[in-house]
Amino acid sequence: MASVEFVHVSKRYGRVEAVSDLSLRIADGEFMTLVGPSGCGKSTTLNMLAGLDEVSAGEILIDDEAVTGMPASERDIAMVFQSYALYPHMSVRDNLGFALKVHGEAKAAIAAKVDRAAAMLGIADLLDRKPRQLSGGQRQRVALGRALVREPRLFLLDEPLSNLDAKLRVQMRAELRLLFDRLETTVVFVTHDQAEAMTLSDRVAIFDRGVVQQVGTPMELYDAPANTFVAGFLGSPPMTFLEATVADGAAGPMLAGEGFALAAPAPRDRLRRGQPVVVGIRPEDIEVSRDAAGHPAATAISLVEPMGSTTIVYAPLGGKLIAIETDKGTDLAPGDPIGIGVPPDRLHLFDPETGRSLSA
Amino acid sequence: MAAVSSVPARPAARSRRRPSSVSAVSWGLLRWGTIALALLAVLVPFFWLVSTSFKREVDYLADPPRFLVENWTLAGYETLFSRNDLGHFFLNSVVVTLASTALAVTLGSLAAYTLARARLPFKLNGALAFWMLLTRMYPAIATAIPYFLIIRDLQLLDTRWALIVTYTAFNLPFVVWLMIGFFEEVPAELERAAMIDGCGAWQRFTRIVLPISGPALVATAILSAILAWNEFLFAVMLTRTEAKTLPVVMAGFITDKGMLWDQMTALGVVTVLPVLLFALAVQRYLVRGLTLGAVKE
Amino acid sequence: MATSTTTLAAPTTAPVVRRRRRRLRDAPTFALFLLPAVAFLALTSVYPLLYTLRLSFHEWFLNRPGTAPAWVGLGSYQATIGDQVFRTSALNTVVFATGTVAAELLLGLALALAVSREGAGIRVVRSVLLVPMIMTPVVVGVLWRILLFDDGLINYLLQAVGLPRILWFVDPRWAFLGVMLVDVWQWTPFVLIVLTAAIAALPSEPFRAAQIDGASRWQVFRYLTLPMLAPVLLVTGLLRFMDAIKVFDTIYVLTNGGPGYATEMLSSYIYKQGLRYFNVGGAAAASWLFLAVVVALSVVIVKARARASRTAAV
Repeated sequence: MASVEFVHVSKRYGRVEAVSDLSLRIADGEFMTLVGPSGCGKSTTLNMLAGLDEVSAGEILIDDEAVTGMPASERDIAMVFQSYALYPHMSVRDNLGFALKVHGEAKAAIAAKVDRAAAMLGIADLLDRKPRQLSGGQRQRVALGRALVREPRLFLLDEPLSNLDAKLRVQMRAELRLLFDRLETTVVFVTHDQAEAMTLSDRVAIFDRGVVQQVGTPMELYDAPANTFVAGFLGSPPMTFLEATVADGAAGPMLAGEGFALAAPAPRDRLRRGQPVVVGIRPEDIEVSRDAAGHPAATAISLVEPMGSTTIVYAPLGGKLIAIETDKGTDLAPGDPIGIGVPPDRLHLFDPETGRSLSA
Repeated sequence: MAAVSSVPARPAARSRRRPSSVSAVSWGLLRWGTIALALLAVLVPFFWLVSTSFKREVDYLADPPRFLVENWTLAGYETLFSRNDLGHFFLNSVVVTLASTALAVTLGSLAAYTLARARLPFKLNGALAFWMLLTRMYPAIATAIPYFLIIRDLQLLDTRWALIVTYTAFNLPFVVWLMIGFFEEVPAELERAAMIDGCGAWQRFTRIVLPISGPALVATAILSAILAWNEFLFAVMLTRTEAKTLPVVMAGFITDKGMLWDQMTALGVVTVLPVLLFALAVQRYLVRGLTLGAVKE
Repeated sequence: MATSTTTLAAPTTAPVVRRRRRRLRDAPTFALFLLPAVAFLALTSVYPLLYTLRLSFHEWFLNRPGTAPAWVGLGSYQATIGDQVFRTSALNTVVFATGTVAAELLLGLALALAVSREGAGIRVVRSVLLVPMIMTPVVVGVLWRILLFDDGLINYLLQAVGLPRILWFVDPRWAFLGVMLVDVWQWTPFVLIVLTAAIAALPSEPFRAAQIDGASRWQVFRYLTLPMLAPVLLVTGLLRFMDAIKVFDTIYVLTNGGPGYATEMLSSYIYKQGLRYFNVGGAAAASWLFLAVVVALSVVIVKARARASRTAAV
C-alpha cells in the first residue's frame, strides 16, 4: 500500500517534451487511471513511476520517499504490460514465481504464493504450460498473476486490456475492478479507452499533449469537464460542439447559432451579449420534439443507428452533425423533421479561444 | 512464399487451361535443366574428391579418368594417418576452433547485448558497431606483417595460442554484429518486465535474453567455428610444425609431396566433413550469418 | 464545479534533489560487458593496423639480421606504386573480383529463380548447392588442382565434347580464367542462398496482381522481381566484391600467383613481399594502399546495406 506523488515532473526526448510539469497526488489505496490519446504522455508518466524511463526534471515520491533515481528493481512495484511481456522460455509457474526467485525467497514460500495467485485468477490448471500455449485471455491472466504474486505496494497497469477482443475486454474489465477492490492496493492504470477509465477508476487524470487536463472522479469529469478536450474525450458518442453567440431572448439570454437558439444555463450574469461561446451537448441530454414547425432549433434526421439498448440518431445542426440518444423503440426515420431542445442546466459552455469551461 | 515462378506465363485470357500447355512444359524443362546442371557442377567435383581418396595410384592417375574402379582401397587414409602425425594436427584444429569460438562468443555476446540495449554516451553504440563492421571487412593481410612480428616477439610462433588469439579477433566482430541483431529481436518489454521483477543488467542477460536467443547463439557459434576451422592465411603464417592446422597440412602436400592424390583427397574429406555436418545444422541461419545480418530469412 | 477536480500542483515539502540517472546502477555492468571485447579488438586490430602504418614509412628487411627499421618517409609507397608486380596484382585483383562477382550474380540469380518454388526435393537441392561455399577453401583449391590437371577430369570432359585440352597452369590467360572458375564455383552458392531468401520474403500481392493483369513470365521478372530484388542484389554484390578482392587461399594452393605473375593478387603479393622477401616496409605500404580502397568500399556497403534493409522486403 502506498501513496504516489509527482512533483513538477517533466520528461523531454531531445526537444520534444513528452510530459510537462506534471503534479499529481495519488492516495493510498486509490485506483487512478491515466487516460488520453496515444502520444499524450500517459505511458511515459507510468514508465517514469516504474523507473523504466528517466525523469528529466522534478521529483517522484512513493510513500513520501523520493524514488526519482532509484532503479525499477528496487521500487517494490509490479507492472502489467500491454504485450503481457511473459517470459517465453519459462512455464507459467516460473513466470509467476520469477520475481520472488530473483529476490531470493524460499522455494516453498514461492510455491505457496504462486498457487494462491493462480487460484485467485483461475489459472491453476495452466501452471505447467508455456506462454505460447495460452490464449490471449489466459496470457492476460498470467500477466496479472505475475504482478499479484509480488504483493507489491503499487500496481502499474499499462493498457492491459487492449490486446483482448472486445467481448473479453469487457469481461476482464469487471474482473479487474473486483480483484483490486479486494486487494485494496494502490493502482495506476493507463489506457486510451475512455470506457475503461470511466468504469474502473476511483479517479481519472486526463492527459493531452503531455499536460494533465483535469483530475477527478469519473462522474465529476463527465458532468463538469474543465475544457473541450475533456468534454469531447469522455462519452460515446461524444459531445457535440456548436458555435453560438449570446443574444437576448424573451425569457432571458439565449445561445444563438446557425439555425438554432437555445436558452442559456444559469448563472446567466457571466454572459455578455454578443459573446461568442462553444456549446457542448451530450447525446443523452437532448429532448426531441416531433413538432418541428417554428421550433427554435429545427432540423431533420439524416441517419438512424440502432445500438440495441438505445438508438442514436444524427441530424445536422449549426453546421455539425449532432448525435442524439433516443429510446430503442423509437420510430424516428431519416428525413423526419424534428426540433431539438436541451434543458439549460445540461448545456456545457466553453470559451472558443481557450477551450476552457465557462461553467466554473 | 512468393516465388516469381508461381505466376503462370499464360496471358489471362487463356489462363483457364491447365498448365500442361507447351510453354509451361518448356519452362519446367528449362527450370529442371538448370537445377540438374547446377547439381552436377557441385556433385561431380565433390564425388571426385571423395572417390579419389579411395582409389589406388593406377586408378587416380589413369588417362582417361576412371569414375568407378573395381579395387576401392583405404590405403590413402592409412598412409595419411600413419606417415603424418595427423591426429595431432586434427587436435590442433579442434582446440584452436573450440577455444577461439568460445572466447569470441563469450566476449562478443556480452558486448553485443550492451550495444543492443544500453544507451551509451557520445553515440558510442553506432560508432562501435561501425568499427566492428570495418574490422570484419578489412583485408586480414593488412595486419599480417605486424601480427607476425608481434607473435614472434611474444615467442608464440608455432603455438596454438597464436591462432586462438587470431581467430578470436577475427570472429569477435562477426559475433557482435550477428548477436546485436538477434538481441534486438528480443522484445524490449520483456526486459522492462524483468527490471520490474528486480533484475539488474547481469540477471536480465543471463536469465531472460540469453535463454531466449539460445538457438541464435548456437548458430552464431557454429558459423564462427566454421570460419576458424577453414582459416588458412594466418595459420600458414604463424605455424611451422607443431601448431599446424589441417588446412596448413593440406597445403603442405601441394608443395613437397608431388601427386599423392589419394592422401590429399583423404585429408580433404577429413577436413571438410565436420564442417559440412555443422553447416547443415545451422542452414537456417546461414544467410543471415554470411551477410552480417543484411538479409534475414 | 467541484474543487477536488483540479487537484493540481499539491504543495510538497520534499526537497527536490538533483536527479540521478536511472541506469546508474546498470552502468558498471554494461561497462564490464563491453570492455573486454573492445580492449581485445583494440589490441588485435587497431594496434596491428597502426603498426603496419608505422612500418610503411620505414625500410626494414627482416632477413638482414641486426638491422633496424629505417625511416624513409613515403619511400616505400613510391617503391610499391612503381613496382610492376604490384600494379599487375592490383589490376588482376580488380579484374578477378569484377569478373567473378558478375558471373556469380548472374548464375546465382538464375539458380535462385529456379529453386525458389517450393516442391518435392527442392529443399535437398538447396542444401546440396550450398556445399562448395562451406568447403574449406584450401580443400577447394586442392580439389580443383586435381580436376584441372593436364590429364584430369575437366580436360577429359572438354575432349569428350570435341574441344581441345587446356594447359590450365601453363597458359597465363587460362590460368586466370581457371582461378576465376574456381571462385565462381565456390561462391555462386552464396549469391544463391541470399537471393533465395530475398525472393521468399517478397510480398505475394504484386505477383497476384500481375497474374490478374495477364503479365508474361518475362514481364513479371523484368518489372516486378528484378526491381524488388535490386537492393539485395547490390548488397550481395558488394559483399562478394569485398571478399573477392581478399582472395588468398585458393590462389595459394592452385597457382601460387603463377605462371609468372598471371594470377598474382594483392593478398598474395603482400604475403610474398612480407614473408618471402622479408620486405616489411614494402608489404606494409601495399597493405595500406589496399586498406584505403577497402575502407572506402566499406562505407559504400554500410550505406547500401542500410538502404537495402529499409527498402527491400528482407
